[in-house]
Amino acid sequence: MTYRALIAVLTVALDAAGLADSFTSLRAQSDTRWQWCVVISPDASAGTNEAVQALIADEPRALAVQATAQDPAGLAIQVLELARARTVAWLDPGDRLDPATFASVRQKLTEGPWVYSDEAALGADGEVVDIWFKPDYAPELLRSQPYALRLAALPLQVVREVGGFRPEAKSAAWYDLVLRVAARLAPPGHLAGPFYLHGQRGAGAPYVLEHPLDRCRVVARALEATGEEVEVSPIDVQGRPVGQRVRRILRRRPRISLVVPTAGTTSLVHGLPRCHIVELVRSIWVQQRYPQLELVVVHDMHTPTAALAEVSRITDGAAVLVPFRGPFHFSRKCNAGSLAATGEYLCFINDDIELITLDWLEEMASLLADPDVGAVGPRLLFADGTLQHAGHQYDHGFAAHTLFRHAPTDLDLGGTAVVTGERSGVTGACLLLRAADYLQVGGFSEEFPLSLNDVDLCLKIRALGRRILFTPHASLTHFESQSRQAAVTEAELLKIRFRWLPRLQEDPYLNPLLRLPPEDSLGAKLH
Amino acid sequence: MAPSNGLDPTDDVTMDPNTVLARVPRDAQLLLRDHIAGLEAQAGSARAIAERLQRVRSQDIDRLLLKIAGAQAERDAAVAERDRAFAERDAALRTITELTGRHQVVPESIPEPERPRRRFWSSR
Repeated sequence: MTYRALIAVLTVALDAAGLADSFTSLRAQSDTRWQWCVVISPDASAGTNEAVQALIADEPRALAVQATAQDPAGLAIQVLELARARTVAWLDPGDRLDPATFASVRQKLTEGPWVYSDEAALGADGEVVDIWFKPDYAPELLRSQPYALRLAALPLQVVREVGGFRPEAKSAAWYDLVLRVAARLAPPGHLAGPFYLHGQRGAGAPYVLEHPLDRCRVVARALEATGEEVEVSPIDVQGRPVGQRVRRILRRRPRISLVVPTAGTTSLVHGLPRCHIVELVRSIWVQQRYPQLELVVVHDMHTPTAALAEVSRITDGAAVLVPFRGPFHFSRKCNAGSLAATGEYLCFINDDIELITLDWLEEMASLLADPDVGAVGPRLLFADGTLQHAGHQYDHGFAAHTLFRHAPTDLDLGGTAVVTGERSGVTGACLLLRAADYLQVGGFSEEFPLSLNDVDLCLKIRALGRRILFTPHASLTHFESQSRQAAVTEAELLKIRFRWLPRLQEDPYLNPLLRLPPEDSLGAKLH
Repeated sequence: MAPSNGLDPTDDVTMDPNTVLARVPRDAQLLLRDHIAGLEAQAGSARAIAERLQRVRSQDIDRLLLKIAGAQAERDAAVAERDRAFAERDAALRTITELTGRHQVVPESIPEPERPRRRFWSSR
């Protein structure tokens, strides 16, 4: 017999308005094994208790009690006491669930110990006006954004084992609970599709509802429990709360080798000639810089000697100059640089880059301090300020840049470009990783001289079991293709698919509903 | 004297591949390790594609079995319907037989209807 999860839905009512919609959506569930636990806030408007009791009078699965607690967390604690179920889920009053939600949750619980779904906002006529298509489980994203909360179904036994709701979490009590349960359990199942429906909120309204200070506090506490020292600050974009920035305090600053392949090219930027390698080194070396820094410049034989002399002058001779013979080969140049580098971390960076955030390397290094993280990539902007890189996404046998050419403050995909989170890969134009990992996976593959070498490297790092992070808090301008023509050769495309086709078809950080149908995918043609 | 295999007997001949790789120059190490990683990736991809095909095939088989089961159920229902119809007909025939058996005398008691006199037409 199939296991059937029994779900207790927790709701705190401030008035009777909207509860009927929530209740109707529960009664419409195809899986009927649910329980609705409602506490009525002491601050609720007069007559709320009577209205709620009348609403649920003929429903034995619903239970409503008048609460004694005043604060949000106290109310949450009281409503949790009513739960008699295998799992618990939170439903805000007025919000609804798709009729297939519980049946789908029950099915998904066979894939993971807890489950979360996508969510959507409803318009005035009950139509879906905005859907938040979420990625599969991404722990760093969960710390950056309360993205796996609605609907989340958590095992009640584990909820009790971790101590249930905590009063100090206040309005972020459910977020706090999800973080603690997630830290205890294996990765959850992701229920793709808008199963949680925010009632009559309309397009453009925020999905992040917890008070910013409460959110920051619970995230800081979750990380401090693992021994990390952090500063957490809220992220708002155009007045809309999106998540929070987690800044980890580095206890130790590992030596980082910056490896810069260059030909010493000069090109026009904003109408002025710019010798890329010189300007990059100037911005890195002169301004506030990471303390344990080594600079390795891998230069073609025809690189202007004046440019190399200027690099040496700026760095007082500290730069390691590695001559490179042969036609342009990005991977080979990077590998040559890595062999000359002595840092514990390697940061590969193109020369046609300009710093925007001065602590970019500190930010990236702080994320790499997590042993589960294998590589970190920054946000790259084009010269016109649009997004060049906010992480890779793989689909249809191809690699693409997330929200390419969008505004950097674009809140599409739940605001993925403005918060730190997991990616399947990041660009080789700027990428930080451990030297030991780089050596272990064989560096940039020389099978890919020009393009896709970063896709391959990131997939090799992920094959080690490590996650890859994108951070918008390290921001750089990339004058891409001003130093060379970007092109993907047919041979490289075939090679990358031969190595990684299934990975290029099922990116866990791209919502399955946003992927192209498998019958359209190139894989079907190749195999 | 035992034949020599060319190795010093004190050499460790059961070295872990990583130990062997660590003794190779680092530039060659990168190439070798990438080659190994590439082969492992190809193996992983082949496995994943095989699993996907297996899953699809298994779903196809499930669908086929479901279709067979549906057709069988449909056939069984039709056969049952037919058998029920036969049974009803047999029951009706039995009733008629019984009724006709019980009233066997009845037809005999009924006078033979007068048959019209046959006329023989003859042109002669």
